[in-house]
Amino acid sequence: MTGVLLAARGPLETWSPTLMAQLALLLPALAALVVVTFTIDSRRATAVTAFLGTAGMLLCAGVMAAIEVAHPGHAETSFTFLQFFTGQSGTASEFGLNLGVVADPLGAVMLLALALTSLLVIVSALDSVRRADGFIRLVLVSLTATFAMAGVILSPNYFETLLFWMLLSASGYLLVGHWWGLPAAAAAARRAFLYLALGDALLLVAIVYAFFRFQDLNFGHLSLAYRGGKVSSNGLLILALLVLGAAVSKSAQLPLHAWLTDAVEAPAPAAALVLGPTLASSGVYLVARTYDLFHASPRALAVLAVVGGASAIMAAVWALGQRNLKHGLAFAAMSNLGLILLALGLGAFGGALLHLFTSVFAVALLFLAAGAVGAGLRTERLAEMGGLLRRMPVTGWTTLLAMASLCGIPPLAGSWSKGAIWASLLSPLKEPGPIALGLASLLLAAALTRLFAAAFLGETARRRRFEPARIQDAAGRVRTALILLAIPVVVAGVWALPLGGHGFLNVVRFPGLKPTPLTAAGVGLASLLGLLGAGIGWLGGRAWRWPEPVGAALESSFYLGHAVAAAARRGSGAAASGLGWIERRVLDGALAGFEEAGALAGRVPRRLRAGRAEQSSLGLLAGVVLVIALALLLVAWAARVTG
Amino acid sequence: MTGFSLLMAAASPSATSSPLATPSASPLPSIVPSLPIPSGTPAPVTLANPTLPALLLSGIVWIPLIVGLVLLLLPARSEAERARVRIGAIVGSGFVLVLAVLMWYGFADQGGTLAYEEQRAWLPQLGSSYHLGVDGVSLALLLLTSLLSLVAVLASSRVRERAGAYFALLLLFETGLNGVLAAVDYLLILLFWAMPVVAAFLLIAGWGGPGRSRAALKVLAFGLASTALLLVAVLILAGQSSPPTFDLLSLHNTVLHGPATGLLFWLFFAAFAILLPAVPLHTWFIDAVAEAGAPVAALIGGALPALAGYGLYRTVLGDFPADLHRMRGAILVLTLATLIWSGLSALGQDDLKRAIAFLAQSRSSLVLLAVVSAAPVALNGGVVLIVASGLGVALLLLTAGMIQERTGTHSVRALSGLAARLPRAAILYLVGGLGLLGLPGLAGFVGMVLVFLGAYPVDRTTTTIAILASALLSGGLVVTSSERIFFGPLPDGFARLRDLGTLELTYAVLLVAVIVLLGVFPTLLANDVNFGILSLLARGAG
Repeated sequence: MTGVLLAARGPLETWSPTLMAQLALLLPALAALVVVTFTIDSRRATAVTAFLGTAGMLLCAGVMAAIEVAHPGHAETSFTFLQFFTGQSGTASEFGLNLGVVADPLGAVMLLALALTSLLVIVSALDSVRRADGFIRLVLVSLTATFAMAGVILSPNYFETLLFWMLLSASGYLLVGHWWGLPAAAAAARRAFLYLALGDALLLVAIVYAFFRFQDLNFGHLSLAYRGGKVSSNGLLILALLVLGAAVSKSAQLPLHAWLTDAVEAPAPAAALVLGPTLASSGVYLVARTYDLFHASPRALAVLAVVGGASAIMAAVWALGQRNLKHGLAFAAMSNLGLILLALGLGAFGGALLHLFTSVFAVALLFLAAGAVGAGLRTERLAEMGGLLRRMPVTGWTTLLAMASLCGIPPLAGSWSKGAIWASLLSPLKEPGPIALGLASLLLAAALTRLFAAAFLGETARRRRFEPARIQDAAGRVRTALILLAIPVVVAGVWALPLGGHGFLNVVRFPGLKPTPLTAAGVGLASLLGLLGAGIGWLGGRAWRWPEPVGAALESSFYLGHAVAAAARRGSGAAASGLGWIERRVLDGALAGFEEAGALAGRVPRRLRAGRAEQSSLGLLAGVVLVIALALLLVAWAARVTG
Repeated sequence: MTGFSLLMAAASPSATSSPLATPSASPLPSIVPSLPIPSGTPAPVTLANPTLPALLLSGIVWIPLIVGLVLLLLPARSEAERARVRIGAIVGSGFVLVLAVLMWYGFADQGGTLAYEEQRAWLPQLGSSYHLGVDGVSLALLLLTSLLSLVAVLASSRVRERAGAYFALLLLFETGLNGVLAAVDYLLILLFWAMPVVAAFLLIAGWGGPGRSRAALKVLAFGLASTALLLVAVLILAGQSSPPTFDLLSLHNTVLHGPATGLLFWLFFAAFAILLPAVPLHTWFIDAVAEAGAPVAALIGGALPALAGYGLYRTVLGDFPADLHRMRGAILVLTLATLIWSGLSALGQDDLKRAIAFLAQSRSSLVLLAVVSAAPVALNGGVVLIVASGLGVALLLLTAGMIQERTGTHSVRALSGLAARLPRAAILYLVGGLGLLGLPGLAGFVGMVLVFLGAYPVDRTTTTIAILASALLSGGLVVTSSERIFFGPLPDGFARLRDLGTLELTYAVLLVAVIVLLGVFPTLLANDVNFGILSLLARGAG
């Protein structure tokens, strides 16, 4: 183990952050292995194992975060996974791939959010997913997804990121397709996998390009190399765009967003994980982790901002047109992630990451709540909901808190984090990014409020054969999870304050940027936008019924996903038939002559069927050997003749 | 090259370790083998003092044939007699696998000299000797072929007609495979090259599906064509040497003149491209895999591309690097054409086995990419990729066979929702399919990454297209086929299917275990392969 420990000394050394990181990474995997080996038949035992695994992970993540907040530093430890000689001289004589962990404030806070959310989601699944629905399988895949995301967070180099990135895609595929018996879920899983696979391929291209240019894949080494002049600005742009492409596919941003609505075909805990702390956040996290690269290429930052801004605005618009609660939430989550990417593109590093931190809890909570609503009402269509705040108070109020936080309504966490973003944009004000940010915030707030008003306010819609009195609130572990997730949604914003140098913005910073402290103006602007958007959304509320063509177009996100899918299907179908035609007519046709001769030899199979296989096979083998022997004798004779 | 030549100097027959030799950290501790197996001793063994370890390679090559001949003569009319034949075959191929694993365990590759070498006089007038030997590359592939042969034998438990002949042919197949990999003399290689062709032909013709005669004849035609090309190439090559010899190593050091090298390059390349299979010579492969029974298809689909890859490594890469470099553009086009053709065709297939055959072809094209790049990183990855692809394709084909046995069809359109009754089959299919795509933790990931890392500097456009195409097309095939076959509602007609039994689980889990093992510990293979590849390239430069 080659340790490069630069951080804490003294009593903290025993609890070294890298050790905590390694434990936090391995515990979910260990829990998954134990489940597969020992508890695969018992629901309770599986739940206990998963709880212990994620609780342990939370503990380690907490310790690591505490250390990093107290003594921010950058520590890495890795071992050689694969190494061999290349036969070249000098520095290129050895080729190696390393695996390890990096412990720094950015990773620590994300790991903390992941661990807490994952723990609560998995625990709530015990009550919301019955055994017949594959509870054990769900827990197993959730643990794998948590492990993969932890790997992405803690990875110190591109290779390991790719490793866990692809594992994350596979986990996403299995999570989305959890109810594989339903054709909709199976199709959703397939579509999601293809988009995620494209992202994997883009990341792989980024890696081979980075290795080609820099001969190194370690994030730390590369952060120095980006500005070293070894690679032109065009090269940096290409690399950044490739990484951005991978991030876009995972975070479901434009133009690779079509798998988003598919993701909600998963059961509620799975959807909460996919759209919350694991897949969706991983794209944004990758951008943050490789921010050196983007910072070194201003054009890439611009593209990042454009992609984030466009996604944020379009997703919020589409969210306004959704008639299904979960779909609406999915687009809201996409819009939120777009906001974070936009903020990153505009240079508000600390604020963007604080917002990511706070919104992970909120998004997970929203999907758990949506699951409870769906279970209670047996529908997910907004038109059939209403008045749930009265009938499902816990679900309703926690949803309200989460949505308000995402809107940026004070004093919830989201207002502080959005305020931090605005604080760094306002000093000095740069055009036109902040306009997009403001517009997106307004639209997102409107969309969320519309969803809330439609589902939770007003009167419960009457449906045939369904008594509103039968609606039950979320109970048991789901209720506990909702309440516990609501806590960080409310209080996490306090971390935005300086707190004697240990505030989030001081601790999680990008070395190339000066951290901008939280300002009242920032928080004020965020709150204003949130309240304004909420007002617009509330005024519209349930009364918003789009004229039909518009409504349908909004709901299916302008048919972009459909267009891509149809093109892929028709294109591959046509290509396959064309190639098949060539094979049958051209390639096999060239063998036609041989087949005529083969008709004579066709007697051989008949003789085989008659049971003379042994003789035929021996005979044939003898024949071949004879031919070769003849050829050898011929050569020997030729050699002797020519001397 | 200075570091490496130091290495070559240090690697003498008596040296068992040198400070530079073993890469630093491998997950398994380097245990000094307690078996008296010499490593890298080139001393020829005479009949006067055959020592046990020196017969390991001969054993691995000839035991299957001997057992096969015995089985051929056994009666196989009653169920008990058939069981006896089966068990004989299992013991035979199992023993060969054990030998292969022992060889690998005792293998310490120092400087790329051949290990377990055996040399006996055979045809001295021609310059051909009975010369066997392995280096890291052939040893890794020997492990693959031995394992696949055992799995094929285990999976053939339902064969009723002429069981003796069937297993004899399977073991003949194995002899051919192992022989090509172990032989270091071109005539021997030729002799062994013909065996899988003949065995495949007879196996398909005698025990195949509805279109078997046509498929069998195609196999014979293309296989014999490949053998013939190889024969001509070997004869020309031998003719150029003086004194005339067929020994691989000696011929490698022969200086070749003029247009002969170009011709030889294309002859060798074509011979192996047929087996790879490369477009447009691939139709035999698809038909063969489709019409053969599942175990035979697994051997054809998993092991024959391995032979082709091995041939490309040894001859095209090892002996004709200059021509390879000159023809790089054309071969890269061929690689892309094969990848995209097979990827697209796979998506349009209704027959599950045909689709898997195209998927196998896609992965083989990546091996071709590794060869043409001639980069050590890619070549190391290429060997791992060959092994991983062989295992994954075999697993997929065997699962397809299990499905066919129970539902009576290969047609993707006719199948649906099978995961409800066959969950184990679904898991196997996903593991095999995702493993072929390069899921981390399974065997294909490291190989794929290494191949692309090494190939990228050679041709950036081709590599980029290859990455995107293989991810989307092969990925598309795996998920669409899983969705159609396993997911969705279960039709009433399939409501009574039984899931995998113990025997089926045995060999399937064996495959999965190896796939996972190689995925988590790629160093098991990669360490041994490294020096073989370096010496291959070094010889080519000389």
